[in-house]
Amino acid sequence: MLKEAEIRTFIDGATNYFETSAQQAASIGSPYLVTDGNPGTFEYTGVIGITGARKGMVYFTAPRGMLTVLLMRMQETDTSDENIKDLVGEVANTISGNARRDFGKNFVISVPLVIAHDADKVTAPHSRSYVIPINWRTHSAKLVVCLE
Amino acid sequence: MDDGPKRSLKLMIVDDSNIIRRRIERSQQIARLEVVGAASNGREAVELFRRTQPDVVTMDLTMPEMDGVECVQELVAINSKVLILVVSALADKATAVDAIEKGANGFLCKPFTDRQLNDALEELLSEA
Amino acid sequence: MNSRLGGILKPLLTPAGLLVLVVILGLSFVAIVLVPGFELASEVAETSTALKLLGEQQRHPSLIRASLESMRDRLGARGYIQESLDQLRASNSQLDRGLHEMTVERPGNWFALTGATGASGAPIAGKHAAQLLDAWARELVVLKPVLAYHGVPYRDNESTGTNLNESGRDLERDLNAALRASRHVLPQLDTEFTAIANALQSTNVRSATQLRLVMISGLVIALALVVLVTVLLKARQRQESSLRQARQQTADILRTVKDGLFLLDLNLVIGSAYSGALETLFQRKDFAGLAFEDLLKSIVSERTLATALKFVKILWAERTNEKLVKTINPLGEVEVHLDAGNGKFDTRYLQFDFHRVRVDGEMTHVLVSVSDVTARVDLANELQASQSKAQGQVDTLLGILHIDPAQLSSFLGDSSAAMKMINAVLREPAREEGMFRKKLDTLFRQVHSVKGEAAALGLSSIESRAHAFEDDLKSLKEKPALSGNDFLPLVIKLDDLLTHLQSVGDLVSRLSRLHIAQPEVVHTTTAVLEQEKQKQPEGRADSGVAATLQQLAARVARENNKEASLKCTGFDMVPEDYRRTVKDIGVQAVRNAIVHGIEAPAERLSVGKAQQGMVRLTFQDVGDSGYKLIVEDDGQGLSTDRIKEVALKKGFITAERALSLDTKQTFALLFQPGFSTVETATMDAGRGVGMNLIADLTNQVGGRVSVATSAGKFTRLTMTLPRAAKRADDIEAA
Repeated sequence: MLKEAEIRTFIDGATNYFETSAQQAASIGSPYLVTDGNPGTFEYTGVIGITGARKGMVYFTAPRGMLTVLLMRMQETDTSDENIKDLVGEVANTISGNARRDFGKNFVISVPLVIAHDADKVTAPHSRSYVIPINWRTHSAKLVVCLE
Repeated sequence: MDDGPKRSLKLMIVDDSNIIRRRIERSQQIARLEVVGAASNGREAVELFRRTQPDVVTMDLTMPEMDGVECVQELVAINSKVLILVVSALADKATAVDAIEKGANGFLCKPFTDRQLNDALEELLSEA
Repeated sequence: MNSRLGGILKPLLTPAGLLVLVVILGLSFVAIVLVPGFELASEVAETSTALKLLGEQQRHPSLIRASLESMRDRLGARGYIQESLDQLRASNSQLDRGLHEMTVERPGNWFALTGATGASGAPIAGKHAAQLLDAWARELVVLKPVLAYHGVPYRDNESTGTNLNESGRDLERDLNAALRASRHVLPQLDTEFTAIANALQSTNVRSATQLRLVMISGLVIALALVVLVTVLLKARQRQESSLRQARQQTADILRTVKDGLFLLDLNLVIGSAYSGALETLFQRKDFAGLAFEDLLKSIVSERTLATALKFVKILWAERTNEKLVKTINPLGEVEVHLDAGNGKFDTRYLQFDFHRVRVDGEMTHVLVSVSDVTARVDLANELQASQSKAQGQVDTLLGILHIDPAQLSSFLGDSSAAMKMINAVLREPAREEGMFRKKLDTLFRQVHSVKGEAAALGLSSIESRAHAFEDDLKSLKEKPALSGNDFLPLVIKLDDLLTHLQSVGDLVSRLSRLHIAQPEVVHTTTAVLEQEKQKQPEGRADSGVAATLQQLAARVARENNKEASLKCTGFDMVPEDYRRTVKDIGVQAVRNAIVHGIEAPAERLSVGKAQQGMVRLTFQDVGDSGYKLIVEDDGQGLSTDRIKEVALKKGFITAERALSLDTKQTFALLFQPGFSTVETATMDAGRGVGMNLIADLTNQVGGRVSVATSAGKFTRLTMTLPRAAKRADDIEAA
């Protein structure tokens, strides 16, 4: 199924980031659906827009604690808000890079947009979204895929 | 084209489908055109072309042996004045463009009505 | 006449004609005015010089005569003569020089005197020159001795006073001779001078008149030139302003036209003039000099790009018939994505049209027009989508129409509850293998019951989806290691199921609206039945459970090549709380009874039973102890040996344990997850979930199950349910 391959690409993008930059793999929890159009976010969210063969958006959202630890694992001592936002942007970039590689021209992917401390700004364009919990160390983040 | 006493122009049909060949043959109502041959693949077409020296050719693109694009190239090399109408399904525009690039003059999309075919041939002759 | 003149003038009135006229006038100004004017002016100047010279010479003859007379008189009075002699000598030499000058031929550009005064290059004196020189030569002969005189002509004598001496007497004689001759010659000179002067004078007057004429014609030509130049300038201005106007109009058109317009040259580079709409269409501004390839690169696929470039190039080939290649334009409808800058995309459909531009028959450019056809494409897509959706709906609709509405809506309610449950289970946080594995069983039971019911109602589209979900679960169960990744296909299938259920639900609600809108339908039997059901006490509606089970039994029997009839009793007494449980158990039990219990018709006949098997389903209110649901079939009964065999094979028990199991313990094996006595999984049975599900469902509401069987005769399951059901739905809310 095409959709499965697509979602997997996004998941790989997100988990790869942990594995390559923190040398510690992230695992995913069992995915589920959110049908009320409000998949929810943590404090920091990196959004990429998608159009072309499919339309919608994908976002990676994580709590501050997780991102701080991730930064520290990357030997980064400056864990300011700015740096954390950069980090979320990076994860989103990796996800979109993966997608670009796998889907090519027909899958047009926007430049990531980072939203922090403002959960209301992130809304899924369609009522049904896939939520993939990402577990890393003791923390949990979410990857939300909302495709038409 | 001079409008004087009409010299009959010779038409050759190249298509691997019998049905299409017969359809084109039947639908020929342009007085100026006289069907001189029909080929079912590129190789046959080139051979027939040399023998019958047609002025106008309708050309299918996907055929066994030698495909339409290659065939167009060969026919134009033999007689640069020949008028070639590519008659093919529109699944692959790129191939159609290739055929025009190699020297075909126009394109007619399959499926077509008799009227569309005749209009296309008239258009082809009017520009020559 | 006028018109003929107009005919002649007309070509002259064009700007080019006027320009020719200006050149002609300019040249004639030079030829008619400047050259003759200059010549006439020099003529006048030269005539004046000649007149002046003549004037000077004219007085000399009388001066000479006067000097001669003065000398003679002084000589007579014995006066002083030297002064007069000097006078004579001066006049003589001046006249002599003047005459020579007048009679000498003039070099080059001397004036062109005519008539009496000669022609170009002639002496001033003209034809009079010979006579003048002749007369003067004669005069010189007589003057010579006088001019040659030196000394004093007197001699002083005391007695006679002063007397002429010899030279004086000679001088006196010479003087008299000179005077005599001069009296004849000098007037002759005078006459000639006067004639010359008159000639010069008339020449001068003529020249002046001519000069005036030339001046007047010069003035006329100059005026004409001024007029012409003014007309020309005006024309030029008009031309420029109409050009400017044309340019302005072109600019206005390009600015306001809704289509994107630009020209491509042979190298497929965009020209400097293009319409403003282009900037909106492509969200960029740098079009002039941009390669067509670069414009397209970011918005179409590589393949389309390559074809598009080729397509534009073939337009340049004269062989190509422009009209006959329009259909293969690869940019007839292009989907482009413009980054809106806020993480979102703007998707638009553009249509490119290409037209050859010819100047004097030569192809110079390709005109490209680009229009936004998004609205049109969206509409077409919508139409197509609604058409295909409608097609799918018709299929589903035909299925739904056979189902009792109450049955259907209860099925939809149950299914969506099951889906919620499935999603809730998926959502439960899980990190380790065990937690993931635990989810599988619950998921299985939920989807299995949906599948069973869908099958019972003949909703094959839902049944097959649920079946696929089960298949996935089954393979996950067998997987040695489980992780979140493995659940992704499940979620996708869940998504698909939900979508499908939703569309069936939409259809049902639309159908029910249809029922309301058409009250005459009430006369049909179904509707009458419905009305009757509504009369039943609340909470005691059978809600189509019995009917669902009947359909299921018929279908399962058919598909398993069995013959069975189902008899349901007491279902109108099922309390609302138990409706779903009873139905779920019923579906499962009826299925089990037909697949496992009832024998094939031939077999039944061979053992002396009726060809058609019988399944009884009874719901009983047993007062304080609650309710009983009894399922009984007259099939082959349960064989403890067969159960043990399967359990052994599946590794549920060891061979040793098998020997020690009593009947009750053996039957208990039936309720273990994954147990089934049918080898291949069909939609109806064989997944080993049937009995287990029945036990689960009963346990959930706090009830229990008992089995009674007799080999070859019957199997009876009795589910005892407490008076008040334990709320199993609580989990669903999680």
